[in-house]
Amino acid sequence: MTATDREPEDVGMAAEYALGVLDAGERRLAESRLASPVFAAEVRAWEDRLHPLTDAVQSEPAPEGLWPRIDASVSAVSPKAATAETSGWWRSLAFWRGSTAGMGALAAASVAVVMVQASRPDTPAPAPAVQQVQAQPPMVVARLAAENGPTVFIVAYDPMRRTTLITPLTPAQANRVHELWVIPADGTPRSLGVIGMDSPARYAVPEPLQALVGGDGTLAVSLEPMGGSPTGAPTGPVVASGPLSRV
Amino acid sequence: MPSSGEPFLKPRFVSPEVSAPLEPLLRRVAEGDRDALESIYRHTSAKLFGVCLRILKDRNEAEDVLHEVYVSLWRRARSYDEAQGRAVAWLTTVARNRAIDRLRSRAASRETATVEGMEFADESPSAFAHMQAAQERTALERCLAELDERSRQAIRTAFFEGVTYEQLAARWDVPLGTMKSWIRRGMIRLRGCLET
Repeated sequence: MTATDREPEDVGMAAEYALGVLDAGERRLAESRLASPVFAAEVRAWEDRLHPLTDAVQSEPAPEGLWPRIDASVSAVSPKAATAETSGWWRSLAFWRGSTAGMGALAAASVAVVMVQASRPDTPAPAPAVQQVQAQPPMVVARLAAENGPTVFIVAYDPMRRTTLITPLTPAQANRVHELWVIPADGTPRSLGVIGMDSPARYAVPEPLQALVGGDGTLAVSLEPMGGSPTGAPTGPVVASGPLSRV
Repeated sequence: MPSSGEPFLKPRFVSPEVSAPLEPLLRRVAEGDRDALESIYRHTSAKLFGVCLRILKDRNEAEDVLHEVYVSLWRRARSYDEAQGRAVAWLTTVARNRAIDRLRSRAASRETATVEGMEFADESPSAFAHMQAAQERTALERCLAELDERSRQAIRTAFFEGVTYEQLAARWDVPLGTMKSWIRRGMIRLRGCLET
């Protein structure tokens, strides 16, 4: 087939679709015609012809929080998610643990404890090496999710360092900040501070709150005015929450 | 071991796009290998983010598009047909199409409000400093240079910004039919030139 044999209309629309000048309705029309191998090949040929133009577009580092978001999403949609959800969760943990200096030994030991417990749930007596690890205060983690929604923060508290490592999986909001709260058994939220949304970061936990974060309460994140809640209690909508659990 | 005052983590994904063969990684992604997906992300996300940002002119929206693109790559890597072409071109095209779809779904008022006042990299040939497909780029540039000025400018703007015929016509202040004829004529000449 030579160029002159092709439907002019087809060639035109394929070129226009690849170039990106069609409006929404015309794009839908073009996409409905991609089922035709001839039209699809025409579109692909145009895409290949034009692709070198993208070399002229300046690269821009993607926002740092994006990969953790993608990583969390693919763990939810993977065909293997049903059987490997736990390992997916641990791989997420491994991601930020691995990228943080100084936590390696404790983190690895904590994972070992979990794996031993998970694989032998009915075995009360752990091996000696594991027992030694359990003498350390346990790590505490919380996965904070929107109601019936995706995970939007991962918080890990390291009692040895008395710090939390917070991984935001959602973008910052204009003119608002995300503030983290711990809600212990008495039900009164205590502020742990405003979360930097650009990247995973470590935060010191004030002494009076360390026992609460290391306990059995809940963490929650609310949207607050710039600078954080003016009252010391949450004033905005709660965007995510999740229980603390020792690992 | 310090217990406070930790600095923010250093960015992990600032490396520039690298011309790595993506096909083997795509095969691994199709098998459910998340490390392979991360490798692809590291190699391609800066370019894809640049392309989407150029079209959407909004970092949050460009980020959302990239999120969709890589998740959909994860789900659909099996459907990628190596015979169809280079993986980078394929991935860029997917991202660009999604960005254009998103642009189309915006309210018209918002579009015109954000189009102006944004400064982006020079799209003239002098900006072609870091390119991977030198020969093809040269051929495309040579053929674009043969077009008349208006067709060339309209085609470039359409490609980089993903704007419609109507918006181009408004920007050049010419009738819609005139703009369509500039672009269609230019595209036909472009194809003829590239096929010789």
